[in-house]
Amino acid sequence: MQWFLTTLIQYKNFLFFIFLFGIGIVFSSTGSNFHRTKLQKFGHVISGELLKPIHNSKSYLNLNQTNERLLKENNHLRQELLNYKKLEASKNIDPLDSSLSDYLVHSAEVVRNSYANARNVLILDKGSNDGIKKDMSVIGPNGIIGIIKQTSPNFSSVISILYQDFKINAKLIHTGAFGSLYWEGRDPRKMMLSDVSVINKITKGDTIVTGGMSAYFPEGIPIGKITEFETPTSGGYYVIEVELFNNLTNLEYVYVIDNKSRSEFLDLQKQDNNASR
Amino acid sequence: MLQDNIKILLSFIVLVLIQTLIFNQIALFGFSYPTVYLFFVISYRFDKSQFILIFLGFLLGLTIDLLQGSSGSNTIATLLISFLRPFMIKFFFGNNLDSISLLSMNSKTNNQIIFIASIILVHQVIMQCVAYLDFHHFMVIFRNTIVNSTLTFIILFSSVTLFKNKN
Repeated sequence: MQWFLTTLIQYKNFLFFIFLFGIGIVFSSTGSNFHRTKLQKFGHVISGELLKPIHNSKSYLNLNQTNERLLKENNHLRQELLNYKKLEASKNIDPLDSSLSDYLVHSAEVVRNSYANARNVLILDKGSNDGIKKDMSVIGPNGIIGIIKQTSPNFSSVISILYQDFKINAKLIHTGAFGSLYWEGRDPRKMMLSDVSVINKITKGDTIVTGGMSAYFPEGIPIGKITEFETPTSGGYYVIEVELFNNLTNLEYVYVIDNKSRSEFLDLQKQDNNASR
Repeated sequence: MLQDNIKILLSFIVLVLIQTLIFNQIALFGFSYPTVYLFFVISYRFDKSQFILIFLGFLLGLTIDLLQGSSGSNTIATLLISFLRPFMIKFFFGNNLDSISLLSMNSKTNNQIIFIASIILVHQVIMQCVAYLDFHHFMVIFRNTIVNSTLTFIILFSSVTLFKNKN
């Protein structure tokens, strides 16, 4: 017994190290268990509160550029709205009646941006108090940004599309061919598109948009354009490099999209799963 | 004794704040985050408890991970480096140390440089490997390790020189 205690005390550093190492491994393993989620939520609230003042002063310094960008976007949206109104006028429907539209849009500011890690998580300044819920999609002025991961009353965290082991359903606008988009981790402006069959013809400069096959993103939101592709010698799928339209390194304002028909979609999917069992 | 502990606690908090508020905000060259919080592990006194350093190293990494939103790479790397530190001290400075911390050591400058550099390098290699955990990303891991280590070394070596206790 004494021998046991002596060994225990002698190797206490090593044993303690092994114990904490175990905790570290559990923490970093991808399975999202309850404690990890709780801890991370705590982390995102603290870092949100900490970074808010810094973000505020930073955004004050960038006001000019931001205004310019917003003006451009406004201009574009106004143009689209005018065209849309003209179209709707013939049908006698109010285009902004929220009970008729499937999507609700919330705007939010990015408190913490991140694009250089292997798994990037952003923090927004809107939370469950503002109607933000888990799994809503987040888009920027020029395309998709990510999916809401967690919400606290005043902040929410977003899984960026620049996130290892995260795949997004995407399609080519010309041919309508579907593929999955993922990030290789090298460059925050480039992503890879895989699983596009070689029977589809593609060219450099083709536009990629969201596919709408998952319940996350609405269909047809622009993602990027093809900059390079390889035709494989074996196997039937292209390897395509896509340059994103959105500059994810200087995000300030984003839009969170609430898909009202999402629950319906999920129900249907569940039924389908049950039926095929 | 109490004063020392307060100093340790203070440096812990200050380093966490510097790391999250400054260095995690500016990605140098678009991808590099120097890990300046390693100053804590480097400047920890030689005669203080190793047991507590292991715990503090774990806590430091966990805090950074939570604030940065990363999934455990900082925790594992910092824990491992705090565990390995006494062996590295023995390896680079020998058994009989003539000072109580790196900040009050005025001899063996070359050994000090290699000590700091290897702590940073080992930490970075582990951190990048845990973060990517895939051999496909070898080039990314390699690039991040080299660039981050170099930047961290420049920052940490100059701050060690700056905070040296003058005799």
